[in-house]
Amino acid sequence: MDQMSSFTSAGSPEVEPETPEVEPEAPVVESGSPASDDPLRIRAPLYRLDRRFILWRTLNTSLWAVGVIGTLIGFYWYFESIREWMGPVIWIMAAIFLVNLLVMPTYRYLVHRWETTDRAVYTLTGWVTREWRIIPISRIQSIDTVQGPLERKLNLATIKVTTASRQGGVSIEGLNSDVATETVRRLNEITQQTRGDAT
Amino acid sequence: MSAERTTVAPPEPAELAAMSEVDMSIPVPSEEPWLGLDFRVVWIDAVKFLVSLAPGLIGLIYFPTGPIWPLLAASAFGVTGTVLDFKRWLHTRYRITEGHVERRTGWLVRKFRNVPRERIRSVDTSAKLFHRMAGLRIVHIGTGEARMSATFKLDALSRHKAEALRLLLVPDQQAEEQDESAEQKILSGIPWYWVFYNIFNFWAFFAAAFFLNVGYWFLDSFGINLLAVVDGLISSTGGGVTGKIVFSVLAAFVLGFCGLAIDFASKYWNFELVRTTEKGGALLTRHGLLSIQTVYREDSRIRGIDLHEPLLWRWIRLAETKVVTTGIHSAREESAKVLPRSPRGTARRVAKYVLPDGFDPLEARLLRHPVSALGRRLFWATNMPLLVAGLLVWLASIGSTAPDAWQFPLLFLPLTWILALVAYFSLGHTRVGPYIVVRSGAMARSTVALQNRAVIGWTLQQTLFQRLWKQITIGIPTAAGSRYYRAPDAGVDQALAFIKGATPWLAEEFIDGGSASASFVPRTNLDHPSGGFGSRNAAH
Repeated sequence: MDQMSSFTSAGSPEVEPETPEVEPEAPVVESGSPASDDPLRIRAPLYRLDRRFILWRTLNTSLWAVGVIGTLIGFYWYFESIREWMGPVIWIMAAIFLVNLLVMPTYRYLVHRWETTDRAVYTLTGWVTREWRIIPISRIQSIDTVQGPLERKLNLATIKVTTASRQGGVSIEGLNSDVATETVRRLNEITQQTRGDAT
Repeated sequence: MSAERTTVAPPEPAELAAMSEVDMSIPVPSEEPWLGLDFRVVWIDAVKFLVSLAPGLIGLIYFPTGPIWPLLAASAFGVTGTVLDFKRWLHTRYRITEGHVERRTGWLVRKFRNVPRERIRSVDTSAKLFHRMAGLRIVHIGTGEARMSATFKLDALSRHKAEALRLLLVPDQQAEEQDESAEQKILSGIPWYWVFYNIFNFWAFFAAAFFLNVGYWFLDSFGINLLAVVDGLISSTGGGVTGKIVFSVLAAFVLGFCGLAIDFASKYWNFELVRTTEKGGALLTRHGLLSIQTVYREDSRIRGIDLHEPLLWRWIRLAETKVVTTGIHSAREESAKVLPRSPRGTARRVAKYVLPDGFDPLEARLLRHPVSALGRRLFWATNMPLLVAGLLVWLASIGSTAPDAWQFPLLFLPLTWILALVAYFSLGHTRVGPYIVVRSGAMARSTVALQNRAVIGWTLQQTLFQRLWKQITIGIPTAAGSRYYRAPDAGVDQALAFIKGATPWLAEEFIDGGSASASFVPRTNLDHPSGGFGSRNAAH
């Protein structure tokens, strides 16, 4: 954590002060071999998302929940013949959405991390299934900022980075929009300095 | 631009008027004249025109009262096709300027295509039967990220012009003519019995069904009812309804296999796999009976090799060899394939010569993934049928399915267990020199060797269960081949060591620990102004 002291307090006023992040709750993959006293481990990316990510995800999920469950209830109400099996389906969907509403946004906020260095963009996402993505700057093809209507209201933004492989891209959701703007500016700067390769 | 217009040949006023619509897409004014396609295309069209008139005329003259509409339709179709092709010849112009290759074509819909010359990755030629008889070649100009539909085609130029164009457009071209001494033949001709390896395909049935359908309509025109003929044939041998069905299916398959055999033979006739020093080193395949296909795969674009072994063919040791290259879309499998389905021994021997740098990563022993990966496979192999059975029990309880249907999925259990075992023993990965090798797949095992430099990032995925069992799935995005390769369920230390070995410069930033930690480079780039985003607490 000693590198942290070299940080300047740059950034917009909206960036909330946060508790020290990387330890202890950061999910770090450790290898299981007890034989080696220094096993390889992948460290978590440094930065958390904006706290409003939780609110954004909750609102988003509730919109989906209203839409999907509403449609299903509509079917249930309109077609008498399908009620027998539609009933349990609706309950199961409701249970899934309840978990997604109450647990998932906060859990994801605790897990998701991101970082950009001079060499790579590095993210950790997921909640039940975790996903680490490393993209070398030299392989970046495009950098986009995306802001949906909800995100705009909450002053959040999503950065999308693409490479020559469709599965090789990454999107960092739920960034403070000022942080996103600054990050994209800096990424563009580094990308221009880094010689791409002809793949 | 007006100066340029006057050089357009032929300078028909109508042409020029139409040109003005696309003028803005011409970026570089140039004095270079526009060239047309070879005149012999017209002869081909004329021959095709006469040939396609034939069925309709025969129908009209000999069977004027019969149901001849399929013949007339075939003729109309053929005639329209050749007339349109003639129009295309009339309206297609191309030119090579200093920086670009330009082509304009189209009659109702005008198209203008412009490709910067430095973007051209490949120039290949092909020829259909008539083209070969007329000494013509179709030139395909390939650029890197071209979509399938975006292939730049000139159909057709004379053989000499095509060759000259190829030499002109692809730099690093030393040999003026095709220099035999520059070629090293890896494989020349394939044994006739390879036909059997390549025809046994489930699609044979549908191919046959299609041709039978066409045949039915065709013979119908001459007053022959194919169904009645076959029906009578079987009845005369005394077969019942079951006999008829069995016979028809078998006959369809046999017919399909024959069709595929003919197709395979005409496609892979005179097969040659050649390593050439042209284009700064390239892998070249040439094959075909009626139409010869020549495909160059430059060494600078080759990123690896993919040995593909579908389950049913693995037991008799067959494999399909594909090169992993950039510029060839993964969907255009045909040009990635350097060897059809062949004995694995041959495939491996050939693999040695396919890669430009002399490494032979496919021969390497692979690291086995942890046994818990087998556990995970058996878990799903057991639970998926159980889950389906449970669903069926519930559906039966509300009366939607038969009450005993739940037993059916359980019958699959032995099969899924065997597949789980097969899938586990397919898993493996290792590193050989500048290559990474990953292998996986139950129904179709695929062994892929990929150059380190082709790795354009890493994706690590870990589900809840994988976390418990210390496994992780490695995903390797790349710009070549199928664009994404995976090593499922590797041990966590295996995975991290793999990444560290393949891309040490990335690993040093994100992977800690291990014996090399002494040489860990402190991260200095954190001093940049935005380094503190989201971590202001450090300054407080």
